[in-house]
Amino acid sequence: MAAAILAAARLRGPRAPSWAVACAVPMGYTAGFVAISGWPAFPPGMAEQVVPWLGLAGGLLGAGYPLLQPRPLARRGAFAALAVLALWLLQRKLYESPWSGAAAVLVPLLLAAAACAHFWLVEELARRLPGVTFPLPHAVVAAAAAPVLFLAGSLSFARHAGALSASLLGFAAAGTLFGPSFWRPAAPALALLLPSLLLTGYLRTYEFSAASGFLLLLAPAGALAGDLAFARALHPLPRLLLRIGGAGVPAAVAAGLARMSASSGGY
Amino acid sequence: MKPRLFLLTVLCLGAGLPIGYVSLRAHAPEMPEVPATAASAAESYDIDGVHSQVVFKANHLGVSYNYGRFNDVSGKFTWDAADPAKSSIEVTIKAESIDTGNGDRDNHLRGPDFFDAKQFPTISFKSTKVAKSGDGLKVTGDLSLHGKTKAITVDAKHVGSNDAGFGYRTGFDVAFTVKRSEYGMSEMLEMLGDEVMVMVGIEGVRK
Repeated sequence: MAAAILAAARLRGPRAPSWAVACAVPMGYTAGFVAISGWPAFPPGMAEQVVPWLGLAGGLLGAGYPLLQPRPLARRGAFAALAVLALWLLQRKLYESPWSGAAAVLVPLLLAAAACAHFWLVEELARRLPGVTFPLPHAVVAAAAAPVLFLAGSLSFARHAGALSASLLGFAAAGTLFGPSFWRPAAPALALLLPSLLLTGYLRTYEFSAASGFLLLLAPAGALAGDLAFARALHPLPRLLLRIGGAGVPAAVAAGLARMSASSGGY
Repeated sequence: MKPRLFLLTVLCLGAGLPIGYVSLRAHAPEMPEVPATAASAAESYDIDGVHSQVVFKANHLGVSYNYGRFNDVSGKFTWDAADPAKSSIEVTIKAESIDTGNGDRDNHLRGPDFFDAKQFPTISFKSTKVAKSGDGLKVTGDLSLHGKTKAITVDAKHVGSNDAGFGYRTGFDVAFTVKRSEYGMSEMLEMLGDEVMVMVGIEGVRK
């Protein structure tokens, strides 16, 4: 679906339009979600049904980037509002809040701040990483989220992570149809989808490794390994592999940590 | 003659009563059923969670049945032996208390693929109708599971009543089948059977 949207946009011109860049991944993820779990209800009844809607909201925010690009405060403010909304939506259906007392205020605030920091990271990566080097490390990280969620105790959430990874791969593949492009409109959706999926896993499963979750959120930054001094002299393909490996190694460590924290190694 | 006849009668009764009692003890079940004190009125009971069990079995890969149970069962019921239609029952089960003898499997069953216990922490049954059926009962009620409520009818049998020094107790045996997919639990249908057989032993202590 993500690839189809970008490919269709390519018919209109050599430059990727903001709306297509912004909406390709969340629409691809939503298509995968529908195939796995059926249509996400609106308003969402279950926390995991919130995730595709959040992705699409991020896509809408990204589609507005031609207007928001010169206004960083408005852009980040809009994302912060979406992050707070995401936190509220993801935990509101739980029977009891996972946090009590002062933690009930502090933890959601810290998580919203972490989501905003993640957004800043994804935006920076979209600005710095050329062409497919932006979506590919994210696809690797989303793929590693699948075993983390499976080991936490949810096959369905693991498949949702797989759908996100497939969507990012399609996005990367279709991205090769364009020359150097403007990938930043994809940032809000990407910065909402993976953290929301991981937070859903944390809130709803019984063996989610929080360390793995944080490591996965930081892992895309490993793609900046391709910007190290020695890497600049490399040919494009080894440099791309270095970027993928830079994100893939911490993602693999996150999966390993999840395996180690699983109670008794399967049944 | 009359005083002699009276004496003979007393002697016969005096000898016969213990003999009759011993004879009754020999033929009665170990815990004889004690009739309710007010057989025509519905009496209220609290479910004794220690002596009540909810056990289930589900097909695994088409080759065997795997058994499990819920360790936290509570509720109350009213029972009218003379007119069962006046009886009712409410049972609440904590979904997190599932126990299949394997920690990983239990956590998977508690998670979003199955019971989703963090979002739907309780399983409940509330009767809407109780009817006599042969020597058993048909209990119709609403089963709430995984956020969905559906009317079901289960077969129940009154097992017995007893007052053996632990409070007046009465109990039932219940068996029924649920299709988990009807309650939105559709993961891994190809591996774990859709139909889950549930066996319930309910013991209540009269209030």
